[in-house]
Amino acid sequence: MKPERWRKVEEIFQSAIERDPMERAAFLNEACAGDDSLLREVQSLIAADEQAGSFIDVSSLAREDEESLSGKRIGPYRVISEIGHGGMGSVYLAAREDEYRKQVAIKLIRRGMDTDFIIRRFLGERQILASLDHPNIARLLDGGTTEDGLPYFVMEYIEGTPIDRYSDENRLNTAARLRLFRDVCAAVQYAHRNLVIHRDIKPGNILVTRDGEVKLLDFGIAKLLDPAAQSLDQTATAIRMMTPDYASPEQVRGEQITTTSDVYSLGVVLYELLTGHRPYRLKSRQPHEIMRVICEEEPERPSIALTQLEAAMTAEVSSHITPPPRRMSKPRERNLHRLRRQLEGDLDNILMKALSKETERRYSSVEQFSEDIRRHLEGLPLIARNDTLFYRAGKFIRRHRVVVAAAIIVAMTLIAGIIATAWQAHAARQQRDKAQYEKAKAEQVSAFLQSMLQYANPSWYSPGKDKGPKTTVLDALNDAAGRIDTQLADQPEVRSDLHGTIGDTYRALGLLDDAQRHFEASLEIRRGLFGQGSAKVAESLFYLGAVQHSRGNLEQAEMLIRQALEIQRRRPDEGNNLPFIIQELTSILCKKGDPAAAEPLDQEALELFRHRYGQRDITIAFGHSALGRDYYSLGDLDRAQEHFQESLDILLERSGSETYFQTLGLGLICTASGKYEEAERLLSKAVDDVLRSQGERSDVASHILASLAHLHSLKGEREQARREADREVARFHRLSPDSYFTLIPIAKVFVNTGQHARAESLLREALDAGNRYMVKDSWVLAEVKGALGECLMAQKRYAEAEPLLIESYESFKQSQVEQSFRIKEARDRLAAMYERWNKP
Amino acid sequence: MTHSAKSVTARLLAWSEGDREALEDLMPMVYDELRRLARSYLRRERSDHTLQPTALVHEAYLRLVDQEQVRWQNRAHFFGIAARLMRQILVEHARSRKTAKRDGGLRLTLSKAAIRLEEKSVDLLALDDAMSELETIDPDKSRIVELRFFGGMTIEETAEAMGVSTATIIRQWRMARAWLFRRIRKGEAGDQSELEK
Repeated sequence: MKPERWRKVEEIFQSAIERDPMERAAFLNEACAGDDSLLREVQSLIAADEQAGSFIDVSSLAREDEESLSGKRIGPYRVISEIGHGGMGSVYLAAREDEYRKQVAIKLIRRGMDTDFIIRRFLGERQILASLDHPNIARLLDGGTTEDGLPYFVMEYIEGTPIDRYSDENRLNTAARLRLFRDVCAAVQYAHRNLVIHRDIKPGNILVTRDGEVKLLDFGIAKLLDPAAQSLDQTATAIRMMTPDYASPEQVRGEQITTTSDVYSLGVVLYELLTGHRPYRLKSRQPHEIMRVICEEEPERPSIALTQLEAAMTAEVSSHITPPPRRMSKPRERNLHRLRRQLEGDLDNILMKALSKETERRYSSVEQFSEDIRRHLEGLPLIARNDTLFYRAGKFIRRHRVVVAAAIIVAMTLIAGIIATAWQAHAARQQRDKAQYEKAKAEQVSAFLQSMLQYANPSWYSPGKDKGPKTTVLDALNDAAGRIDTQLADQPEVRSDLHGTIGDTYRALGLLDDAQRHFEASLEIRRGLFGQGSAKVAESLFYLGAVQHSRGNLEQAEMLIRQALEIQRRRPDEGNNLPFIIQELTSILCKKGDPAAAEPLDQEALELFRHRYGQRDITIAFGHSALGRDYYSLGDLDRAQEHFQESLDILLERSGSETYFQTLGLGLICTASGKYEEAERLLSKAVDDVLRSQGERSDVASHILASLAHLHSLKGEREQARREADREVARFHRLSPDSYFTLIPIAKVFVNTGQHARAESLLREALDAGNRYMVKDSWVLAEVKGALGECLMAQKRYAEAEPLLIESYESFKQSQVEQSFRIKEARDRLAAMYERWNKP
Repeated sequence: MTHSAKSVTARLLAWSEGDREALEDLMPMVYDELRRLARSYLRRERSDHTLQPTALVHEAYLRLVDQEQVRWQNRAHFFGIAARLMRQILVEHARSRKTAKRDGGLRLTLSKAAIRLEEKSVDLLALDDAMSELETIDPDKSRIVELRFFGGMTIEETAEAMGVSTATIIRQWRMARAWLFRRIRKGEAGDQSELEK
């Protein structure tokens, strides 16, 4: 059959079957216009269509089962009807036999789809749902196995309307939509806190009941954030196609999915809720087109998208792929101008931030997203700000991230340093010679840098298969590192600077051996050039100390940093390094458990920062958080709280700052003062922030999660605390000065939940390690002794507990401020011990 | 993650990046897995238990593809291949069974999948022939039937895989079904006269 004829046959066939059978004959006669063979062909196809019945109808295989299920029993439930089905399973409406009013939704694997493997996945999904209990999440009520051996689970049946339809039908205005949306955020936030990512947020999965209650459905392809959950090997992804319309760029690209992927999908939902339109239009459903649009096309600002929409309505929009524009403003704010005014500014910014292509630029958690909406509703300033020029430049860098990163770090520190020195020199007019020298030096460096950057430029390479970007950057660095000494043989000063900068780059990449080598080379040149007592030598010593600190060699680190400090103090006007050196030292002191020594130094550093950079600089925030840490360690909660809060306030003035450290500090203070609800909120926020920015394996993340577990044990949520502590302890690799502080809350959970043997072995390990490098009356050791004493006491080993509890109490009295909560706790523990022991 | 899962995933990704050779590597991997699954289920199957052929495709996907790695469109690619291979496997089964019957020999291994299809009185061999013929006239329609019938894809999934709307799939499917139905019935009646047009 010729193609044209085939098309003609099809066209007439399709039109004919849409018509009423009564009109069909007339239509066919007219359409075939006397072509008898055409008419016969179409007629015979129509006859075949009518007779085909269930011929090759795949869904009929399944439907048979479903029909037979209607009215049948599944466990104690009677099936009423089918609500929906996916590739593998179906969902039924059912009711308990003894309680007809209460309807439930039952999810069941389809007969024929029940391979063992698929059943395991299905049970994984049930497991996820069982771990979630939140008023805005459809609840798992029951689970079991049918007589045929098919597993099923029973969920709360939600009689509701998808959130978009609900909002339109009830003509909710923008504020009401925002409030409703915040309930959705609460549910997602809760899931995230339980380490579950939803991954398929869309209006169809967000129902609103008649009472206006939001219910989030379908954690079907949710994935546990926690890789330690072995039962689910790798993933709990159910089998089905992801709807790409609400998917984030990283989802579409198949990259790592995090909680911020849900932030993005929520952003699409809110965009649609407020404007009635998707943030972008797909011209086709071709994979490459979907990918291009989602990954590359910046969404229109919502307020602008609105106007274009109105314009588009007058033009003809014929494509069935682009959703036809609806009259958006009517159900929302009654008229377009009013709606546009509502969206302009805040809501534009909020949505653009949520819909950022780069995960780093999105809200770091759903809670933040929701918080900004609250701020908008209450007229407060937002976290989301306009994109800056700096960001746009940053975007280029991000695209070639690793490749350019190191080269840029090198370039920027060098250039900044050179500009600063050149400027100072310029200001001091009498030092004209020096200025000229600096200029010459700057030219030398910039020439060298140029050659290096060229090397790091990805386009410089012919695309080779095995040359990953990481190789490139290391190649560039290694190449530059190797050339310094030969190419700049007659420029020792430039050479020493470059060794220092390259060393710092290696340090940032975690290559501590290479970093140390270059810092040492720099130090040696500078010693010869400027003398042992110079500020340049102090700088090199400082860097070397920092490397040792990163390696956990506290003793060596302290020695080097103290040398640097001593030199720098004698030359207060040379360079800006003094407060940074001080902070490096106080950080070491605190790890040694000696906040009393750190506190006056941190006060000094803060003053220096203030003097140099003004009141609201970011360095001031760091100064305050260091003091917050010191006071918390000293047991002075009021002061600690002030400093952390001040630090947080400064950081919140600038977008994109990390605040988990401050949030953690405040959370620990609340824990110590018994404000458990507030503590829970803060620590959870800190977890969200740190997981997003650092990945979950970082020491800080572990510490916060361990602190949360401890909090839960204090709140009496023993099961949860125990689970969380088990998880954290499983992640524990080795006891280093950085991870030391994490061990203590974990051990305390074990004490509180009666796992004494585990607690004891952890605490003894900690005691041994701490004795090696901590100061004598360290409050940290006192904590360990106190917990160990309590653990022994609980096992009635009073004679062993007694000396530990006494030492703990004495150490706290030495190391803490008078009103410290730790002294009181230690005293109480001691008293309790004597009371139980009945020792006179 | 098994070794083969890694390589299948890598090849799926390479293929979607435009590496044609990756497809040639991919086919035998998926084919082997489907065959293996079909055999192993057959061995263990209880007599009262029926399994749909498409369950095997789903399971093969779960086993072979690292879902953390692939993009959503890779799934369509995979099911596209698997559907074709499943068709091949089922048709081979049907053919060998027919031969076995004719030869009066022992009943050859027969997957429950095939039994299930026979109960629906579909002559797989006739369907296969008819689909091949349809392919020469309208390859898209033949493909849609393949994806739906042998790949177990829903209307929506088929639409994603073919890159068209669901409405288009529904229309095309109906036409294809009518055409195949008529073709097979005619084949049974031995009437081949209408074909020349």
